[in-house]
Amino acid sequence: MRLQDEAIFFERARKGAALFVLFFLAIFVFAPLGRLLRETEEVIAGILDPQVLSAIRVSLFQAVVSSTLSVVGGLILTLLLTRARTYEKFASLLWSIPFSIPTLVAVYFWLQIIFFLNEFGFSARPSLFWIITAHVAFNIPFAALLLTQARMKISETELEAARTLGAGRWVLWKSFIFSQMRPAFFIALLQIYMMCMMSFALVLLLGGGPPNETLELGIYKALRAGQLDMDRAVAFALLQMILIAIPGAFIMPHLLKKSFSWSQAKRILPIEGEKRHGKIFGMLLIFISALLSLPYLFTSLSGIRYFFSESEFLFRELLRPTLISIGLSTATMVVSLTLATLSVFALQQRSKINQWVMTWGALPGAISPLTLGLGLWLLTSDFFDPFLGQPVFIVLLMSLQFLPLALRWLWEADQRDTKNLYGTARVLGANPFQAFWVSKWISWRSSLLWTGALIFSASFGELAAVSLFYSESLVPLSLQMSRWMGRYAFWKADAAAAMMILFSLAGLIAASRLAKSQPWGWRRG
Amino acid sequence: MKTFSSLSVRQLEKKVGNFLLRANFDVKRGERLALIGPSGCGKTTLLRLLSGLIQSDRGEILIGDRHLTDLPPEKRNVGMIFQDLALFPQMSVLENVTFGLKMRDIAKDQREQIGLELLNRLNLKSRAKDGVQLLSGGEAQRVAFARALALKPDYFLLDEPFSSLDENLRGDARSLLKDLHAEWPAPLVFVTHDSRDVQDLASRALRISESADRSLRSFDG
Amino acid sequence: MRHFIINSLIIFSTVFVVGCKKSTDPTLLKVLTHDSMLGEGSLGELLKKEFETQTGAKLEYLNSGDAAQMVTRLELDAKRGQASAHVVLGLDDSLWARAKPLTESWQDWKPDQWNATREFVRIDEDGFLPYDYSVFAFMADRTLLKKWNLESPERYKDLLRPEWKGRFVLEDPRTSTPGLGFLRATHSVFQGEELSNFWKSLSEQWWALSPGWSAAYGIFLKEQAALVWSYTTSEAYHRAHGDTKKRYVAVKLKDPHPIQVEGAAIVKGSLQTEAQRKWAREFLTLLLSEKIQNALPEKNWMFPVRGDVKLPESFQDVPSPTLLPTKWQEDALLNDWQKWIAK
Repeated sequence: MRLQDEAIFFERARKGAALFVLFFLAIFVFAPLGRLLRETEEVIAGILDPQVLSAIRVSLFQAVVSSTLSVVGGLILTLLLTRARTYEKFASLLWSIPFSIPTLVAVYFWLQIIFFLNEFGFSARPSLFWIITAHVAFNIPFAALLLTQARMKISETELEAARTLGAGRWVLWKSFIFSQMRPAFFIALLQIYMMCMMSFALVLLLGGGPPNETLELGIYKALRAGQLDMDRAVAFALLQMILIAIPGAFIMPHLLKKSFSWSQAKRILPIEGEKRHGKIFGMLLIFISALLSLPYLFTSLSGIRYFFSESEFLFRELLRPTLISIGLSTATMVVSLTLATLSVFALQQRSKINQWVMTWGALPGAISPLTLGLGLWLLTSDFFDPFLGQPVFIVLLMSLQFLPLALRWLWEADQRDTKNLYGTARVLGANPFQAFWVSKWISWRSSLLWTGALIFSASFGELAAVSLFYSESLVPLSLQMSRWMGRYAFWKADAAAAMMILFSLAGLIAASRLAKSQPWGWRRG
Repeated sequence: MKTFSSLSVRQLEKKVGNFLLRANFDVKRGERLALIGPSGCGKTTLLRLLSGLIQSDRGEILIGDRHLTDLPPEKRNVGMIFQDLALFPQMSVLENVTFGLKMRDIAKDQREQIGLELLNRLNLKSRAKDGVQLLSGGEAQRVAFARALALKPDYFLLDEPFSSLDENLRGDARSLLKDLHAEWPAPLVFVTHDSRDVQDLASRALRISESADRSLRSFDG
Repeated sequence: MRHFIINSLIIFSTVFVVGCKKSTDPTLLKVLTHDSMLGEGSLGELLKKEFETQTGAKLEYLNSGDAAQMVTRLELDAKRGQASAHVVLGLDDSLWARAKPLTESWQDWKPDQWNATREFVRIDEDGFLPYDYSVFAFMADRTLLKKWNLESPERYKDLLRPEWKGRFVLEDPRTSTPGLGFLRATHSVFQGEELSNFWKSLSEQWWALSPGWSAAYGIFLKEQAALVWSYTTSEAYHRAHGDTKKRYVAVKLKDPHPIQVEGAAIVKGSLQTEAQRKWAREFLTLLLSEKIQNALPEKNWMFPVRGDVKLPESFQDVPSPTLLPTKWQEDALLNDWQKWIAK
C-alpha cells in the first residue's frame, strides 16, 4: 500500500469508527433524551408540587454536602501522602478498593452499622445523615485518587526553587500547590456531586423513605413501585438532568481537557527534612485509608460461610441470579470496551467529527441510568413490554454509564509515548498492525484488562440500570440482594454480598496478574 | 558486493504548524551528514519525513533511482535509531535485533544466526537472551546499532543517537559508529546538539536557514 | 453489498416471523399474579393442582412481582391491545379502582358460594371475586417493649409521644397496601388540619417508612423497632412457627383498624372462546370452594371470606378489633399526604 493510500485508509477507518459511535449515541442517548424533553409540559406543571420541591431540596442538599466533605477529606489524604511518599503505592491500592466494590455491598455495610448502634442502645435509624455519611466515606478515596494525580504533576523542582527563594509553607501551598491543583479540586467536587445526585441504591436503603427521597429515587418509584405515574417520572428525570447539566456544563470542558490531553505525571520525590515525620504521617494515612476501604470487604466476605452451611440455598436461590449477573456484566464489559476502543481509534486523528466523539462520548456520565432508562421506556414501551424483562436495554444502559470512564482510561493508555517504538517497528518492516502489536498493544492490553475488570465488577452490583427493565425471570444478583435486604432474609443478603465481592475481587486479581500496570497514569521517573 | 546509492532529497516540503519545512540535499555513499539547528526547528520532523513515518506535501526522496516518496516506512529499507533507542521492552536482546528480519519472513534459524553474529561483533553475544531492561546505557546503544544494521539498510537516520549516554561513553560510541559505518557505508543522516558529534562524526554539516519572517525553514546543501 | 442486504432481509424476516405472537393454546388458562402467591407450598400451587384436576385444562401463572405492578402490567397490556393473561389473581381493594376498567363484568353470572361470603368483603357485586381478607394492626415485640420501657399504644396518636421516637416502622402508602390502610385509618380518626399535623409530626418519629411490608417486617425482626404495621394474622404466623412464649403479639387499638380484601377478576378482552370463559369462571368459583378456603389461613396467613370456615388453632388468639370498612373509590387522600410529608 502506498503511503498516501495508507493515510487515506486510516482516515476513512477513523471516520467510520467515529460515525458508528455517534450513531450509537444518537439512538441510545439522544433519542431517549429527546423523547423525555418532549414532556417538558409535565415538568412545568409539576414543579410546584411539594413532593417535587422536596425531592429537589433533598437531592441538592445531600449532593452538595457529600461532595464538599468528600473532596475536603480527599485533600487531607493527599496532603498526608505528600508527607509520606513511600506509602504512595499502598495508599493508592487501598483507595482503589471502594471503586471496585458494588455500591449495594457498601450500603449493606452501613445498614449493619445502624443495626449495630441500635443494639448498643444508640438510637440510630436511616436518615439524611446516613446518606451523607455513606456517600462521604465511599467517595473520599475517589477524591484522594483524583487529587493525588494532580499533585503528582506539580514539579518538585519548581517547589524547591520557590523554597530557596524564601517561600514559606503557606505561600508554597497557596501560590504553587493549590493553585495548580485547583482545576482537579473542582473537577473532583463536581464529579462527586454528579455521582451523589445519581445515587440510587444508597438513598433507597439508607434514606428511610420520604421525605428523604431524591429525584433519582422519585423516577424509580414512579415507574416500578406502586402505581405507574409516567408524568411524575418524567418531571423528576428532567429536573435531575437540569440540576446535573448546569454544573456539568462548567466542568465538562475541563474534564475533557484533563482526560484527553496527555500530561506526564512525575514521581513525587522525597524532600529532605520531611522524612523524619514520614512514618507517622504514613501510618496515619494507611490507617484512615484502610478504615475507608477494608470494612466493606470484611463485612461481605463473612457471608462466605453460608456457601458451606446452606449449600442448598446456594444452588436453588443464589445460582440463577449470579449467572444472570455474570451474563449482563460480561455483555456490558464487551459493549463498553468496544465503544471506547472505537472512540479512541477515531480520536487518534483530529477532525470535526472525531471531536464530537470526544464531547458526546463523555455525555452519558452526566445522565443517570434511570433518566436514560425512562427515555428508552417512553420510546419503546409501545413495542417492547418492559415488564417482560429487557436484558438488551439493561446492558445498553450500563455500557453507556461506563463509557466515559472506559474512554478516558483507554485514551490515556493510547497516549503513552510509544511513538518511537511504533516508528522503529515500521522502519524495521512491520506494517501498521504489526507495529501496533509490538508497540502500543502492551499499554493497551494492560488498560483493556484493567478497565474491563473494573467495568465487570462495578456493573455486577449495579441496581439503577436493572431496576427498570427486569422481570421476575430476569432478576440479577444486585436486585435479588436488595430484595433480601428488604425482606427479613439478612443472612441471604450476606451470602449475596459475599458472592458479589468474590466476583469483583476475582475480576480485579485476574486483571492485575495479566496487566502490567494500572491505567492511572503513574509514571515512574 | 553491495553498491551503495546516494540518498537524494529534492525540494521536499512539509507544512509544520506555522512554518514550511523544506529540504534539498544529497548524501553520498560513505558520507555522514549532520543536521544542525536549534530545538524545535524541524530536524526530527525531517528525519521522520525521510523515514516515511510522515508524508511530505511535495518533493521527492530517492535512493539511487528508486523513488521512496510514496513508499511506507517498512518498504524503504532504512536503518533508523531514535533518541530514546526505542528497544522493545517485552523482547529479549536477540529478539530486538532480529525483529526486522522476522518482518521479512526470514526463517528463525537464519535470523538467529545473523543476530548472534552481529551481537558477537558488538561483544553482546552473552546478553542475547537477556531482557533489554537489564542493559546498561552503552549496551542498549549497541543493541540499537545491531538492530539497524541487521537489515542491511540502504541508508541510515539517527536522531540524537548518543543523548542517552553519559559523556565518558559517547566517545566510544562515536568510534563504534564510525567503525560500523566503515563496514556498511550506506548514506547516513544524523541530528545532534553536541558539537563534538559534529566534529568527530560528520563528513559534512547542514545548518538550518530561516527566512526573515520565520515562515520558511530549509536545509539546503 | 447485494449479498449483505439479502442476508439481512432473510435474518430480519426470520426473527420477525419467529417473534410474532403465537396463537394461544385454547386449553390453557393464564393467570397473572404476584410472587407471594407462587412457590413451593403456596396457595397458587394448590389452586393449580385443583383446577387442572377438576377441569382437565392447563393453568399457567405469570409472575408480576407485586400487586401494584400487576395492575400496571394490565394497563400496559390494554394500551398495547394485547392481554397477557385471562385472570388476575391477588388484586386488593385499594387497587380495584384502577383495575376495574380493565376487567370483565360478570353480567348475570355469580360464583357458587357467593352468598356464603361475609358481607363486608363484597366490595363490588360485579367483577371482583374476594377470596381472603386481613385486618391491619401493629405487631409488637414484647421483648423490645420491655427493654425500652414502652407500653403498647392504644391509639394512633400515642405514636407521637417522645418515647416512641425511632421505635416503630411503617410502610409507604404510595407503594404498600398496609401503608395505604394506615393512612386511611388515620383519616378516619383525625380531621382536616389535625390529620396533616399528625403526619408531619409522625414523620419525625418513625424508624423508617419502608417501601413495602417485607422491608418493614425485616427491620422489625432485626430488632430495630418494637412495633411494625402489619396484620393481626402475623400473630398466628408466629404462633404456628414456634413463638410459644408469645413474644410477638398483635396490638388491638381503640381506634378502628383498616382491612384489606384480596380478590380475583377476569381480564377484559382476554377470552377468545366460551370454553375459556367457562374455565375462568371455574377458577373464580374454585377460590370460594371449601378446600381452598380451608387451606387459605395457613398458606396466605389471611382470613377466609367464607364465614362458615373453621379457623386453625394458630388463629385462636388473634384479636378482633373494630374494623374500618374498606373504600375502593379513588380519592385525593394520597395526593394530600404527599404534600404533608414533603420536606
